[in-house]
Amino acid sequence: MNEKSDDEINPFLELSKESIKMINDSYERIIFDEYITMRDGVKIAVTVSLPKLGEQQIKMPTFLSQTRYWRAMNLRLPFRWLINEMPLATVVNEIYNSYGYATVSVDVRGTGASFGTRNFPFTREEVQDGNELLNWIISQPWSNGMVCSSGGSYLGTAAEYLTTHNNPALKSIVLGHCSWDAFLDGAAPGGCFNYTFMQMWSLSGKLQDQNNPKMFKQNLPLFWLLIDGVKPVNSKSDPNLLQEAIKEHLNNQYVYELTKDLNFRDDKLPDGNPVDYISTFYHKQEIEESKVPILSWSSWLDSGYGDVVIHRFLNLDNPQIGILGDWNHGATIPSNQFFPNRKEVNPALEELLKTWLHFFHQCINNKQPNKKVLYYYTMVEEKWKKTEIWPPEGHTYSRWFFTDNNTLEQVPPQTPNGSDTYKVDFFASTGKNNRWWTLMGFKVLYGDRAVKDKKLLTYTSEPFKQDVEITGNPIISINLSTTHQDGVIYAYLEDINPEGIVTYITDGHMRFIHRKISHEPPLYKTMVPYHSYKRKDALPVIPHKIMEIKMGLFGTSVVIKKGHRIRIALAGHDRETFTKYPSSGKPVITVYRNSTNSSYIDIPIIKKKSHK
Amino acid sequence: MESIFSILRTKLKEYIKIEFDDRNRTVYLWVKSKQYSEDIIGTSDEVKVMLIIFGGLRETTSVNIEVNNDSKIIKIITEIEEEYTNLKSIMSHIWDDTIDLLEQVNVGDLSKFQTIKYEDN
Repeated sequence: MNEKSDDEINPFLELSKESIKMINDSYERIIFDEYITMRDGVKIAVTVSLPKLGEQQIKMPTFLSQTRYWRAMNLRLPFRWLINEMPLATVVNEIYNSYGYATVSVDVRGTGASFGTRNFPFTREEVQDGNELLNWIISQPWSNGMVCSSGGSYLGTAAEYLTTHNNPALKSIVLGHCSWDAFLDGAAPGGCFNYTFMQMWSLSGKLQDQNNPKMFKQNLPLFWLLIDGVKPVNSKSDPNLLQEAIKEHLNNQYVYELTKDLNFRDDKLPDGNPVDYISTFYHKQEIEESKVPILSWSSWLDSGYGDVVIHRFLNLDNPQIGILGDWNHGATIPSNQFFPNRKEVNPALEELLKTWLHFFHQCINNKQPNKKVLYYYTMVEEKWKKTEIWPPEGHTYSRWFFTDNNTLEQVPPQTPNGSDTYKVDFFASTGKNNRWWTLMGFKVLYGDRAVKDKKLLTYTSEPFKQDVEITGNPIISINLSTTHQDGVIYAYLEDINPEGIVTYITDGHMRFIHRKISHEPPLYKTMVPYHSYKRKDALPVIPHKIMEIKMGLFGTSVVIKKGHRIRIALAGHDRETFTKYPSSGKPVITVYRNSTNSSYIDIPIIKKKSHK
Repeated sequence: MESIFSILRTKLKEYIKIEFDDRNRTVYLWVKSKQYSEDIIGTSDEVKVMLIIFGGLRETTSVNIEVNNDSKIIKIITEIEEEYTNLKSIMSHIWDDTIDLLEQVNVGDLSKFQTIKYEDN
């Protein structure tokens, strides 16, 4: 389908090519804060930023963002004497306002300066508030009745939920780096509890809900120097309102406490709903019925959120544009593992914002996309690709078997007895700059894994004879046994250059009890073997009995250069990120790689069209 | 971000005037800008936090801070001559110190930041 050569494809240029008129240079920005009272009396804090031209009040479309991370910041002294919003917010609001768009930022109930409490994210009440806020916006004298909801991470999911109301005022949503399946994308990928993120996210949420900026001191020191909390509403008329709101937050509950014993997808939330209730895939029908056009973007390197863009593409009928790049969570830091020293993120924030603005502009001018298009970035080749189908044209699998002497070969093993033992090293770790820690905003940097691989069981190929593009989800099948009644296998796909530098490409893991491949209809279409993670499908782990672990790795797009090798590195734990399984003991895993019980990885490659 | 720091440095010096009354051991801050969104220019606690974070004032230093929201004048009074001398020294270059700190932290140099003796409650 490509009319252009790969060299010319760039989603940010293609989506922003139409010229949008900026409003008069002499406009003034009006910023105000307000409480909006919901149906149950809970007051929700909003900050509105509007362009104003003299006395003339123009009617304009609105960008709505709903956050749990403070809609606006209270600047420390002396900065509050000089500027009335955070410099980052100024950039965002100025760009939107300069093109004649209003912005409305919201503290969702139980957070920031809003009143109310929350038992968990995206409660029914919180989602319902979104619709009331939409209706409030379009009733304002400055609104032209058209709203786009946008944002990254939590804000993105909030925007996706907004479609479930089928409110005609919602004209488009722009979702960045957010989940689709809360269980697998972040909380318990592979059925293993992501305790570090869940703990850090809960702690930082608890501090923010009590208006305490201390978590920024360690993680974002510049931020901490500039701000001391959430921006209050009506601080002069009633200086105690913020304190009253914060007091209500004391009744909040946090996900770590609610999920730390989570083992199965069908475990319940406090209100009796399944965990899936807070996954947007669970609301697929309502999202599709809204027909709202979606711009969905993320990174191959961001937690499970890279696959989210593909899952939306595969599962939602809504017109949509997907973008998959090589950044950290939030696209603020470059995170291409093959260029670890890059400093500048590409595209810059301004370019991203203009892309979102153009998308909204097209949607409100009846130029919305009428199909699905996915842009993805191929690392090492350093090019954007564009496709209307997934997997892309030319996609096929190349099978690589684990063989003698820790090698990977494309020929199946012939001997009946081959196996390798691995004593699980519970000190093995991908560190604090992995795809899971980036959920807190950190850079993704696995570094040269040559030394770390010494703690792991590895299988390495011969040097490639030509460049090969890997695009999609690798699928690994490992026949193994263990000495204990629980355990996990982590599989890392790596590139080794001729100098011996080992570069992370992608990974996947699975807790053994979840290994059953379910033949029930999957909850949603996916490119990897379907494991239900439900209690009824849990299989016991019998010590020394061989079991097949067949699982998908996270999607990627990368070129293995001629002369480079690929490696599969296997581990039994990732110390600084996931819960330990089993919780005690020193398990030894045996990996079978023989003619009866083979182990292999299917690597998704793109076969180029032959030029006649 | 760099350009914002430069603007802030200029604005701080232009709009926040500092005057000293040695006889009464008092420092006056006169907020002349019109940019802040609320009429309240701050609380005495916020002013003290500013002095601790950006000026290096010891938390135990005994200062009496009076904020007048109508005149936009903040009085910082000390009883002890030695503490006044220290406060005066801090205030004579606090805006440069403030922006220098932001600039350092922005490029990843946390050496000065790590000496800040202030913790959020």
